[in-house]
Amino acid sequence: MVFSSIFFIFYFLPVFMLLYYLVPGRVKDIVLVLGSMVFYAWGEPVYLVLMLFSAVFNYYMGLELDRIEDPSPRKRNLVFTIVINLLILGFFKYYGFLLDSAGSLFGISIPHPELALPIGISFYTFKNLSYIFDIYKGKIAAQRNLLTFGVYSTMFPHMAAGPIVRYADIEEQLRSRTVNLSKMGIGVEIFIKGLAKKVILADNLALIYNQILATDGRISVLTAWLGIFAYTMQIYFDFSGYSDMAIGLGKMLGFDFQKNFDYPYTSGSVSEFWRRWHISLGSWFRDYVYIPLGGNRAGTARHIRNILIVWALTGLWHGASWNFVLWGVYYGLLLLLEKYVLSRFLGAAPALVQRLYTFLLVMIGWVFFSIPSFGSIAHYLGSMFGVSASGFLDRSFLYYLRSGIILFIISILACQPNLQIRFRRLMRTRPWAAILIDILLFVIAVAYLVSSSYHSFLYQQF
Amino acid sequence: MVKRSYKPFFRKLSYLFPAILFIVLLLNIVLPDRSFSEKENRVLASRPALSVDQILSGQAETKYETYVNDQFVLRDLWVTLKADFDILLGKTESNGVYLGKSGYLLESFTPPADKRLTATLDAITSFAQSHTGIHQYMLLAPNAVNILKSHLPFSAPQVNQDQYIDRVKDTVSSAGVTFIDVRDTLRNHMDEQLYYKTDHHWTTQAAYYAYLAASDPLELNTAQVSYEKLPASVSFQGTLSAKSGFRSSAKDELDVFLPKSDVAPEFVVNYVEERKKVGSYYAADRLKTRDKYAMFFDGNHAQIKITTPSAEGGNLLILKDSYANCLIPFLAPHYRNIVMIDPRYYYGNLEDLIAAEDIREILYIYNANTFFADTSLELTLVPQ
Repeated sequence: MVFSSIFFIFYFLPVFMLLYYLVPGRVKDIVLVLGSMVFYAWGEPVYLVLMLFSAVFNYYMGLELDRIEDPSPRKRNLVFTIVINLLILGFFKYYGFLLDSAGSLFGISIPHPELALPIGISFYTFKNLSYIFDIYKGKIAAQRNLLTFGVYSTMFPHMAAGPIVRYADIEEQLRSRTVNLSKMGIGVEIFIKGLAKKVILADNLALIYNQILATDGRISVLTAWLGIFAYTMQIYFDFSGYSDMAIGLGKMLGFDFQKNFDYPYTSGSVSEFWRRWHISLGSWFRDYVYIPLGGNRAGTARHIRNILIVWALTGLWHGASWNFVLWGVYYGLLLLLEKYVLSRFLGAAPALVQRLYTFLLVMIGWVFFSIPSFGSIAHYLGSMFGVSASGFLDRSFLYYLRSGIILFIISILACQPNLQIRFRRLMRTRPWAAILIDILLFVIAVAYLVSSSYHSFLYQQF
Repeated sequence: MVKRSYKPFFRKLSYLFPAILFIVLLLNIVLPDRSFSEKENRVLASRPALSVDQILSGQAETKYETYVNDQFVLRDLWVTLKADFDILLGKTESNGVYLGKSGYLLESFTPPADKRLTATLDAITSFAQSHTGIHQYMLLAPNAVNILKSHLPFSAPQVNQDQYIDRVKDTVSSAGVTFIDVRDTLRNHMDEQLYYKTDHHWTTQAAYYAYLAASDPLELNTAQVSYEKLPASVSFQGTLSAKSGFRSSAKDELDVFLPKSDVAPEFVVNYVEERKKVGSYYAADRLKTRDKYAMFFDGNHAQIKITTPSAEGGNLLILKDSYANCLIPFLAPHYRNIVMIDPRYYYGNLEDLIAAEDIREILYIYNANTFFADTSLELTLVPQ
């Protein structure tokens, strides 16, 4: 199930919430785990088994790690747990990719069945791994109650697309949390904003970029930039919208998750961008890969190696395809460049220049991210820099600009904190006006969701 | 932590939002399902039958979500709201339909894959070469996106339909098929209404001009009959408004051209597969439905035979799509027998039909968008 669907919002959510609010204390945990299983199984029931296995397996291994005190069997246990988790992830997510890559290395094609990617596998694997690492490092004690661990591991708000919530962050709340109406209100507010970002902004922006990508032949320089700008905004509102919905739903259930996006497009450097973009993933790689590898404390050469490993893996985490690796390595190189060369100049530059520099590099990065084939990436970059473009400006640019300009203006405003600050002021000074805005956003988003089944059955009438 | 001053806002929202969800849930459960949406011109999904197999494979869930969307309370209103908001956002294209000037909705032209077009043209060519004794003609009607190019939204990207029509013209002409080019005629009458504003068909007026343009190559004596234009409906809402969601309340006038004569012409229209014979080209009861264009020959049928008392022409076979339906009433008085075949629905043997009906002339009538997307004509002409 996805949050941005009529079925979730108008069927699953009210029924589930009613049950969750009606039942007392610990019974809420049972309702939450059962509800999450329904949520997860909806549309792809078979992989529920895999998700539950991962939860039970990590629960058990957590207990083991807690119990064993002797360092060397403890380490063996850790390695075993990591290997099993990564094997599952590897098999379901990277199996076809590895065979294809190995095949093309030797110039052969290895036939293999196409496995559907289990929903959220990258998220729940990482979430469970963080739990295991933290126990190993002694930061937390293992959870003895399977039901409580089940709530952490299977909870539907962050199951499908993050954030990658750490056990340590919500340990207290798993034990006892306040579920009340004003928290519900906060959750509703965040959820509606997230829904509007995803459905009104991201999905409409997607139409523009997809149309430009689908153009036969060459496009002009400005059309190419406009296209990748639309995608830059789309991916932000899509991803952060989904995170907002998850955080909002968490609040409704009584949980406080950390924010996952912090206005990344206002960053003044690439490293700042990555402290503001998908924060739960960046900090995961920092804490569980980069720092264990030695971080930047073991000399320049090691540092460069560590950065490149971390960023290649970060890229690969986003999808089983080489363009994601390229995208990750692109950021690894930019971060190194910033650290060793640019930081001196960048620090002295005016804020606007810093932000422009970051935004341009991020936009270019999205080309690698959004296009799977290297040839097409080169072609698109070529269009952006005039090499393979049809010209600098053409009629289609004016068309896309005209049809997208309102969305672009809203997007630019909405990816900066100002709008939200004003809205928060309105919440205090004129609550009804703020509520009206929220309801209006919700109504428009619902109109898009209802209409989405419009095209699926259109029959030709010729 | 909630600051005190935010509290009224969050409290209100915490009552309102769940209340909205529950009211809508209740309405959705209580209100009856609809089977057809007039507004969208399509059958709505009905409650899927659930089986364990379907649930385990995930199919039931997908179907159920579509069902829930299709039967959502006040669906038409939501769809209208979405379309209006799209226009507010500046959108001028939706689902392959442009929101053009002066209220015209124009279906965009998708160029055919080269292989596809070549296959159809090869079939026409080889059919022409193996039937040299039969006169063959082709009328390929351009679409609104071609003739009314100037009505497209500002700098909308468009593929030139003419270059593809020209290719068809060249190929079939060299195979001996007479190509009836109606593009110039239509362009000369651009200021009249040649296409419906909300539908993908051409108007009866446009078909009449095409008939005049075709009379020369077909050697028809157009002086024989004169026509008067009468509105059959003023509330025609076509497929393009349904498909795009744009201008969903706009209405078109749908005209018929009736011969000015005191004597009612006697002819028989025979719906062969349906085994139904009527004395009119028009199915008036279709005017009560959304698809009012189907009043011409009751929509699309695999095979229709028209028999007239005409002494002028012989036996004509027409291979056609729906653009032909409002044109054929003009042609009918000139032929003794007309057999209309819609290859998309016809599974009979064309050779047998030609022999049995003693066909002397063949006329292809298609609109460009359908012709370039068609895969059935080639199978009818050259059975595999």
